[in-house]
Order: sequence, then structure tokens, then C-alpha cells
Amino acid sequence: MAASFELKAAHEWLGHDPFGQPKPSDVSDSPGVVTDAKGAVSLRAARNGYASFRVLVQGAGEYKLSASIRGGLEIDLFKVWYHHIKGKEGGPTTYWPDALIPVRGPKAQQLPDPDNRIDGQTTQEFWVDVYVPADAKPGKASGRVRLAAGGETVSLSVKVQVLDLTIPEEPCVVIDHNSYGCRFLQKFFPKTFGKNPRGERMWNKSIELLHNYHRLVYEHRGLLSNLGYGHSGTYDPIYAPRMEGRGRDKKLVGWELYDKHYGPVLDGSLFATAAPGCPGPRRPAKPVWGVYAPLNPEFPASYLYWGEKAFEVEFVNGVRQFDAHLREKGWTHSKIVFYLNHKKRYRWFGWDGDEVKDIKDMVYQREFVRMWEEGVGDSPVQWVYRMDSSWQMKNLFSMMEGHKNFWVCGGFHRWYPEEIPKLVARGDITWWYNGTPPITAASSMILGLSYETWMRRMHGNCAWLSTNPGPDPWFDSDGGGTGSIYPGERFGIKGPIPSIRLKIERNGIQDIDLVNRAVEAAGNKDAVQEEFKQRIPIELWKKPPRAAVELPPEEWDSRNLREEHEPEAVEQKQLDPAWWQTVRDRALAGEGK
Amino acid sequence: MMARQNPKVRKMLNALTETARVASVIVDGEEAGRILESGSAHYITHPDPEHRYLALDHFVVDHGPFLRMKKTLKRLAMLADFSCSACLWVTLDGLQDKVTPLVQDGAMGRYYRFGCQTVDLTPEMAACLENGEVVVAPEDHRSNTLTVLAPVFDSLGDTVGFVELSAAHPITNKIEPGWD
Repeated sequence: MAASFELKAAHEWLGHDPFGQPKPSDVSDSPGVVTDAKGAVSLRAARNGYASFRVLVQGAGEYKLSASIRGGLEIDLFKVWYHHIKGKEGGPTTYWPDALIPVRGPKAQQLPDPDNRIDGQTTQEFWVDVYVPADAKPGKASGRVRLAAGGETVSLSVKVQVLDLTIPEEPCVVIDHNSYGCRFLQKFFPKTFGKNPRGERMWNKSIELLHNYHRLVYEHRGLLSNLGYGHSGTYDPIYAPRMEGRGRDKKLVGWELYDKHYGPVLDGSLFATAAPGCPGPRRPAKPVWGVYAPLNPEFPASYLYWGEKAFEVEFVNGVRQFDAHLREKGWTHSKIVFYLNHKKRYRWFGWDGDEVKDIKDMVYQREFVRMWEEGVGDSPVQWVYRMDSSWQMKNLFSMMEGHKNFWVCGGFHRWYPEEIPKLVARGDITWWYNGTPPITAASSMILGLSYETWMRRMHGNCAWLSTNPGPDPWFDSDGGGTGSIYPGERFGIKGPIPSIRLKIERNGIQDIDLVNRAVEAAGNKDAVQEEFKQRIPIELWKKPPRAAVELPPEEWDSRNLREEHEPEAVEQKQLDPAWWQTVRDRALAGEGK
Repeated sequence: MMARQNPKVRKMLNALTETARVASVIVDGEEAGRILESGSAHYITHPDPEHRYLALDHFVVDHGPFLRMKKTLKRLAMLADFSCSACLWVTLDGLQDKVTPLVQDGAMGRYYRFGCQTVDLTPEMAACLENGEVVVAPEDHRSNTLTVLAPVFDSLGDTVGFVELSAAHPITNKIEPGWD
């Protein structure tokens, strides 16, 4: 009976557990308001983007939930998954909302949800996205969320004030979701691959799934980066052509899988269709911001010849062949990222490509850059040299000046408030990297990534691993600090599914895009950023610890710095969970401009 | 034991054993001892449970000997007519019943775990180090590799480590990891 069910609305930054209790880390002193005096959901939304809220279904039994909206707007429903986190030392299991299962059509649901396996569950949270197309008319639009059970219906009214304000097509910050190789897909999509996956079929399945990851992230205003080669230099054939011959006669051959993988990503055609289970697509189909190149110490030259003439011949010629292929295909709109990812600590090479700790290792990197520059010449392909930098970043900033640099800086960059703006001013692409806030943290914590990027006037942020929610994200979650994107296979979806964190992140990028466009038009970026600094207690720059000032980076470590260089998300405990309201208010204040 | 009777397995193990024999002659334990820079060994042999990345952060090598060893391992791997990985493992003073990986080539290793500083000696490792002999590792292993160990000697003839030669087991059809 519907009478035994109740529908409640909740703010996008306020999660609830399966018993109706607010997520502790989301409880705010000044919570965001999502309903009006009559209990209707009341949203203000810019065009060409999304506004979101949560719905709590409370009761017991079978029900169907649906949503509709008028005025040319669209509405998407997602059922929230409650991730089981086992208690420490025998403590009770707790349940945390995050993964979002698309609800397509009037599918019968149960409360308690037998699939989610929570004894005594009384509440089921849903995520609701309201999409406002770019051509929607400013004004009021209304809709409804309906719950039907036992022939009766309860509903929740949804009112949307469509603002005379359009979210820019292109995000002003790149929020990157990093991942490594394609083998992880076989663990997350066992039915898709079947037993003993092999050969062409396996690679085609891998490409198909990676494409769906790209689609999902792109639709959420982000970038998926997928590094193809491992620390040893080995790579799967979807990431690079084969090498044949040696020395002067060495050739890159067999581009079929590479082209199949990267072609639609680099010409943008991939985004003309949505990932399985997802609505849309709603963003214009355009080439991605950038992709990793497969160049590494073992490709396209053999490291056997390092320091000898054959290495330079193989490397330079190989880069030229790679560049020629990209030009021939017209893939000149995205950044092609040359990045040396290996670390000597893993013993394959005696020097760091990633996060150089000993400055003597730069002898190798500089030699690689010299050869790469010789290979690419004045190509129209948008090559950049990516350096993920932590220990030595200050020294490297000056050492590498003049190259086509793409910096991805570790947390230590907060020690360099003078150097970071100089990089940006001289035209270097400048990102920082971090971990993804876990599902137990405040829902709004993930907004710090785009906020800090914009406030420090950097170009992007890389969440170093976004596609690995752990071996069992459903019933034994590790907290999801390396995965804000989930595999959808257990829900019958041949692709990834989003999360609350991904949705909140997208909505935050929209806000930043609106604020950025407004302040650039008004010429008041300094003043607005100063206002934010006063109102939002996020430390943008930090004083370095004593060891970082007195010791050379070669001698730094987590013990003497009293800080970890690994990219782990740090909770800003002083932040109210509704802190983003300051940014949201500013973003939506520009109506009519 | 059944799998070992397979002609492909037998042929590959013979090739790895022959390569191991060559490795035990040409891999120089004195050169291996010059790879790790002073100080690094201390962090490997004295792990700090409160700072789990400490030994990794302080892993520093002398570029010259490392590169020469890397090239030697690559050439050894080329002796087989199938894809083969090679890894030099060494003992360190103060490291009881453990070895540390020092130089790797290829991604098919049986023992290396991503980011590991040391691994416990397996019976085949202990036999190789103790007897100074080429040892074929047990075939039945979750890594699905065929593995042979070659002892590495210093100038006094003492065994200071071993070269692990590993290849994908032909019956299990293991694919070399792109990214593990």
C-alpha cells in the first residue's frame, strides 16, 4: 500500500543511511535547503546542465518509483547502493550511500532491498538529476516524483526555476579520473569477458568498456585518463602498435587496435552515444582534452640500447612514425601526453620517471625530452611532456623551463605560492594530483578538487586512481578512496555506473564554470577569490615544514617532513558540509548576464 | 607433475635452465653489490611500520652498474626463444631469510609483488643460495609461470643472490601483464 510509504526530499550534499539517519559527516550547522514551505522540491538551475537532489523512500514492501518533468527539461532517477563497510575488530557493519544504479522504466523495487542485503532497512535513497537543456526557456518548470504501491500513489512535487544563465560548454578546469591499463576490467566484468578471455575478442571487449568509461566521465564534465604501459614498459596492444625490426629499420606496425581504441576518443565521435544505462548524451561530441602516448623507456626504442646510438635512432624514428600517424588521422585536437611513469623503487629502471626524488635522475629525463623534441619537431599534434612532480618540483620548475611542459604536482605544491603562478604565466599546463575522498567523508568534500584548482589558478586536478572501488565494493567496501566509478555488471549494465561523488563533482564543476565566466567578464576574479578565501576555510597554500627548507629533497621522507607525499585525500575537518553554498550562490547570481 | 611431462613445458624448462647456467657464469656478484647506494640498504633492512614508504623513498642506485645489470638481464632473456623475464634478487647483511629485488626486466616475475622491498625465501630460493646451483622452481604455482633460479657469485665464490628467469606457463596460457 502506498499509504505505508513516504517520500522525502534531501539536499544533494546530505546523504542518509538505510535507516533514515543522516550521514554523520554531512550534518551541517546551516544545511542546504531543497524544499519550499509546502514541501515541494525547489531548485534553481542554469541551462545546459544539471541540478540535483535526493529522494528518500521510507516504508516497507514493493513499490515503483518514477519521475517526470515538463518544460523541455529531463529527469533521471538513480537508485543508491549502500556499501557495506565492516566494523573494525568485530564492530558492526555500517552502510554508506554512493554507487548509483540507473532506474529506467517502471521497475518494481523492494524495501528492504533484497539485493543490498541490509537487515531492517527502512529507507532507500534515490538520486535525482534534472537536466536543463541549453535551449530551455527561462522561467518555471514543474515535475513530480511518484511512488506507486498497491494501486495507490504518493508523490513529491518538483519545481525548477530555469535561470537565464547558460553553463559554458567547456569546463574551465580539467577534473581528471586516472586509471591504469585495461586488465582491471576483467575482474570487474567477468560475465562480459567470459572464461579464459583471449585474443581479439578480449581486446575488443576491453576497448568497448574503456569507451564506456570515457563516455560516463565525459558526460560528468570530467576526463578519463588511462595509462597503457606498466612500470616495466610492457603494454597491451590496444595502447600502441607493434614494434618490428631494429635500429634504422625499426617500424611501428599493426595500428588496428590502437585506432579502434583511440580514434573515436580523439575525433570525438565516441561521445555521440551514451554509456549503457545512462541517459543522454547531453554534451556535444568533441575530442577529449588529452590522452597518454605510449612512449616509455621500452617504446618505441629498446632500452637495451640506452646510451648507444641505436636507442636514439629507434626512439626518434619511432616518435616520428607515431606523430605521422596522428597527423594522417587528423587527431590534432587533443593533447598527446608523453609521460614517464616508472619509479626506480619498483626496480625496472634505475631512475625515476615519475616523482623524481634524486636530481641526478633528471639526466635521463632530459635526454628523453631532447630526443622527443627532435622526433616531434614542429608537428601540429599537441604534444606535451607530463611530469608528475613532488619531491623535486621546485628545482624542476626552473630546470625544465622552455619545454612544452605539463605539470601534475603533488601536495607539496602548496608550499610554492609564488612558483605555481609563474608556471601558469609562462604557459605550462599545471595540474595537481590527489586521492578521491572516501564514501565516509562529507559528500561535499569532493568539491574541494575543483575549488582548490580554480582558487590556485591551476588548470586541472588528477585523481590518481578513480576506477578501482576495491575487490568487493558492494559488501566489503574499502571506502572507495580509489574509485568513484563503479562497474555496472552486477546490475546488468555493460559499462560503468556513476556515484554520488561523481554527480556532486559534476555539479561543482558547473558552478565553477559559471563563476569563472562571470568574473572573467566582470574583471573581478581577484575580489571574488578573496571573498571565497574569507568565507571558506580551505588552506590554499601552506608553509613548508622545517625539513623541507633545511634539507635537500633527496633526504626528505615522511618521517622528517611529518607529511605523506602519497596522494591521499585529507579531510578538511573545519569545513561545514554545506560549505559549497557560497560558491553555488555566486554561480547562480549571474542570471541575465 | 603431470604438466611437466608436456613437451612444451619440458622444452621451455630446458631453455630456462640453459639460460640460468649462462646467467650463473656471467652475472657478476661484485657488480651487483655496487648497484645499491649506501644508506638504501639500511632502510630495506630496517623497515619502519609507521612510515611504510620510507625504504621506497630512499631507494637509490648507482646508475652505471644498474644499467649494465639491466642490459645483462635483457640479453639473458633474449637467449630464450619465448618471452622471458629476468630479475636479480640479492641478500643483504641484516636481512634474515629474505631477499630484495634489485633489478628487473619484463613483467612475468613469479615472486615480485608491486612495491615490495623484500620477500621471504622460498625453499627453491634457499636451495639456490645455499648450494650455489641452478634450481627449477616448482611448476605448480599460482603465478602460472615456469621459473628457474640461477645463483650469482661474488669474487670469493660466495652466493650473493640469484637471477630469477620466469616465463608464462604454456598450458595455462597466461598473458604477460600489461598493467597488473
